[in-house]
Parts: sequence; structure tokens; C-alpha cells
Amino acid sequence: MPVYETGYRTRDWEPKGIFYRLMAFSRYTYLQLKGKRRVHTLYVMSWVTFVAALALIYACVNIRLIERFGIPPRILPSLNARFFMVYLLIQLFFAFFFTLAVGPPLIANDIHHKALPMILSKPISRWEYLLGKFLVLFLLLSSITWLPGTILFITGTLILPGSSNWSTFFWSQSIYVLPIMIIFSFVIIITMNLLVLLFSSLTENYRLAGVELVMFIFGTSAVARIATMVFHSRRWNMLSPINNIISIAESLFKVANTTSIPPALAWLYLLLLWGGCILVLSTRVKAFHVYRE
Amino acid sequence: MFLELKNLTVRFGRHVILDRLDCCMNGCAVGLLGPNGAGKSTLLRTLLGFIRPFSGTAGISGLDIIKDSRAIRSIVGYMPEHESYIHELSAVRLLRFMGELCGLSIRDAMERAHEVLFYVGLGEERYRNVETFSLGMQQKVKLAQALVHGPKLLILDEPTNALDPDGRREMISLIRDIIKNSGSHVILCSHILKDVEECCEDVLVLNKGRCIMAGNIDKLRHVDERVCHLRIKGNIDRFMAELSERGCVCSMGEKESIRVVLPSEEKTELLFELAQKNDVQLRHFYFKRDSLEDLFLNALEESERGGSSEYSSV
Repeated sequence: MPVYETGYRTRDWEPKGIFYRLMAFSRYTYLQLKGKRRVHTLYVMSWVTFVAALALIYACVNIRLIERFGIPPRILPSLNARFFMVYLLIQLFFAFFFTLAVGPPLIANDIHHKALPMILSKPISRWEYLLGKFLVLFLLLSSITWLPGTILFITGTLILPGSSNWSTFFWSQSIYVLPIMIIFSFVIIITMNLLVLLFSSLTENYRLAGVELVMFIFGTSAVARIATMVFHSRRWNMLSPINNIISIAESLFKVANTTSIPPALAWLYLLLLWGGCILVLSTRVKAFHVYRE
Repeated sequence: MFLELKNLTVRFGRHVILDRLDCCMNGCAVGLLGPNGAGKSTLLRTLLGFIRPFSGTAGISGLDIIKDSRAIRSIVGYMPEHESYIHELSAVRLLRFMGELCGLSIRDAMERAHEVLFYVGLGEERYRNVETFSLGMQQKVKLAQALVHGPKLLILDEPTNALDPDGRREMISLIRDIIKNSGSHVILCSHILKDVEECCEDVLVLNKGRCIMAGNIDKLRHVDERVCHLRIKGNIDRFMAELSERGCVCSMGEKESIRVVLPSEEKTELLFELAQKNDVQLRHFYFKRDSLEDLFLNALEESERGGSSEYSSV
């Protein structure tokens, strides 16, 4: 019987689990992103770093090939913790622009179009709604941070000769890079994600949410730089979340600290920032807000 | 009992929005009426778990709104009052998304989305972006998204808002069809009394957060009884007292008119007999049942006066 001949009928069905339902937010956001060229370009660009890093690892293995092109092998970076840290810090730059391109409309549009009561009237709590929105960027940013990082790690481990430092001291000096890389990627993803969701929930205009994010990231960095210069103290670096992220990266990857921020303080800063974001989000994302009369 | 309110009180700070609501509804369709600011939308939001009651509780199909909030939302379809859609989604995608949020598989959600959009009359427009829809079409999309998971209870907040007469008629016939054929319960919140009269069996009237009338509309309108309106001259008080003694329900109208509900065992001759006995002239006499509007206005008037309405809670 064709569908247009059927009347309305209820039916019994077995509901899918909560994770399946939460993934609906990601599925539909990605469907919307499908037609956006700017996002596609950015995504491709973020993978250029991966290809470059892969080429460097390949070059480390095939020194003769490099010499044939007249490039001195000493300028090649060696595969170590710093290599992966630099890779992730470059990806942090892309993660920021990706967050800026995808994140601001996530909650702002739902508030603007009064979709929250409609969504929250389904068997989804507001925390699950927030988790669903969080997953949208979590999956995207994962695909440009720790996932390609892990591929680089495995590739390096597999193709570097046994005589290299990386392979010789693999269990003592190299293996720890993999979990550290994942932890640091999570730091980047959680910070970017919570900040953009926060600004997205504060306004109905997603463009304004984007501006707020840019102002926060660059504004705090500028203030930190000016304060450092005025007061001749590098302690002021702490004002910027980016400096704190860098400090955490340097402590995790066991690289010399360039920001003068003690890692413990950097962690505390980020934990407070995350807590603050969650607190504000919990008060902003309510079905009731759209009913202001 | 599909809807049960037990001493339900909702407060925003010092303001009491719902004041000790107590009633039970068992009809298939309940109309929620009340003037602006009566607390209708707050009641709906409380039932959906958006607002936590200050005291008391409520139940839907035996589920408690506080303890079983998620279970309630999985059996409830909610059509919000205001324009509500998701940016850049077509009607079919919006419905599929809503179905998936309810826990339908992607395939079932897609099937249901098409089915429901055809049902509400948007089959040909289903691939259009909801933002480009007219207000009437958006109302239908809102109804469709509430229906997509086959809810047992449908909460409709002003479904005929801003619709032209044709659109309104279409929406009402859809609601009536749902009530008749699906077995779903419906709570219809509306300012338009005619909509409630056409669709609902029961009515709950709120004013200033209080329940001022609740029960079966036909019973409240005394459909099975004879309601007479009389204009009389003479000793009205004594006449009314005698009527009351004989089991009639009397209420004063404007000027010298009274409204009398005759008990089923009594005949109309009783009125003439008592009029003669009390030396009262019957100047005007006619049968007229109360419309829902009469009931509503009467109940409002009584509640404003602070008195108790003839229409008791069920």
C-alpha cells in the first residue's frame, strides 16, 4: 500500500541506546557541513601537515634520496617526542579555525530558531544534548589531531630502521609518546569544544559567538603579552589559554618550558576554565529559556 | 487515569504560577483553557519535565513527572507554541532527526518521517527547507515532529495559532483524526474555545494558576439534562429556593433572568406549577444549553468574584 494512503498510526518499537541517539547530532551537523566548501578546504589543509610529517618520516628513512635532491640530512628533524609535539601544536592552529568554522552555530542556531523545547521534549536530557553537541566537534577534531598522530606514530615505528634512536630506545623513550599525544589532543579538543559551546550558548547570533571566541583567544593572548612587557614578568603569560596549553604540551612531551608557566598551574587554569564553561552551559541550555515572555 | 495532578504547585521565586492544582482526567482529549498568564504553558512545561514543581506532583499514564521524566518524554509528542525548527534542515530530515532522538533506527525514522509528512499533508513539500515554509506549513511540521515516534500522549500548544480558516479547519480535522484513530491521548492548549469544543471530551480551565473548572465538557454543559432560561417578575428568591428544594440547579443571570437545570425526573410543568404557587410571572422561557464559551466565562467570572463555581472539579 503506498504511504500516502496510510492514515496515522502509532507503533511499538524498541528504542535505540542513548549513544546512538546522541550521535544523531553529529550525523545531522555533518550533513549540513557537506555543502560548505570553506570547511572542506580547511579539513584538507589540516591533513597537509599530516602528509608533510609523513614525508619527513619517509625522508628520515631514505637519507640517500634526500641527498640526491641536494638537501643536507642534518636539517631533517629526528623522530622523537618534540616531533609529535610540534605536529600537534600545528594541528592546534587548525583545530582553532575548525572550531571557529563549525562550532558557533551549534547551540546559537537552536536558541535562535527556538528548537530547544522541541529537542528537549524528546527523551534527551540537557546534559545529553550538550554531550551530543560536544561529540560533533570531538569527532571532527579527533580526526585532525590524535588519529593522524597515531598513524604517524605507527608508521614511524614500523619504517624506521632498528639502528635509529627511536627504535633502539622504543620501550624506554618512545612508547610513552602515544598516550601523551592522545592526552594532549584531548586537552586541545576539550578546551576548544567547551569554549565554543559556551560562546554559542551565550548568544542567538552564531557570528557573534565566533567573534567572541576569537576575541577570547586572541584578546587574552594580547593582554598576556602586554602585561608581560609592562610588568617585566612572564607570569602574565598565564592569562592566555594558548600559553597554558603550550606549557602542558611541553611538560607532557618532556620538552624545556618556554612559557614560564608551571605545568601544575597550567592544568589548574584549564580545569577551572573547563569547570566554568560547564557551569555556564548548564545554566544557559534550558528548554525554558526560549519561553521568555 | 492518564493525567493526574496532585496538589501541583509551581513557583518562580515569589510568584506562584500554578497553585495547588488537583484533578484527574481520563478522557481521550483534554482541552486546556485559560486567559493569558493563567499558567497553561507552565503546566505543559511542568508535565514535560522542563520545570520542577515547588510541591506536589503529577502523573501521566501512571508515570511520575519527577521520577520518570525520561519515560514520560518518550511517550509524549510535544508541539510547541512558537515557531520552532532546526536551521537548514528539510522537513523530512528534521523529522528523521527527531525520530532518531527518540530512539528510532535510521531506517525506521526515515520511513516514519515520510509517512507522517504525507499524513499531515506535506508529502509534496517534504524535501523543502523548513525555513522556507509558510506559517501554516510550519505548524504542520511541528505537529508531524510530535507524531513521528508514535506518542501515546500528544501535547499541542496553540496548534491553530496564526492559521487562516482553511488551515485551522485542516489542523482541527487532523487532531480529531488522531484522537479517533490512533488511540493517543491529546492535551490541547488553546485560546480558541471552538477548537477545544470540537476536539476535546474534557476540559481544564485555569485562571491565575488555579483550576477553576475541570471535567467532562458534555457533563458540564448538562447535555443530558434540560437547561431552561427564564425571565421572571415576582419573588425570585423564594421561587429559586423552591426550585432548589425540588432538585433543580439554579443560578442568577442578568436582570431578572435565571438559569435552571431540571433534574431528569422532573417535567417542565414543574416550573409553571411553582411559578403559580409563588405568584411569579414567567415573562420569558426558552431552552438553551451552555456553550463552552458560556461555561468558560461563567467560571472566570465566579473565580474573579472569589466564589466557587457550580462546575466542580472532577
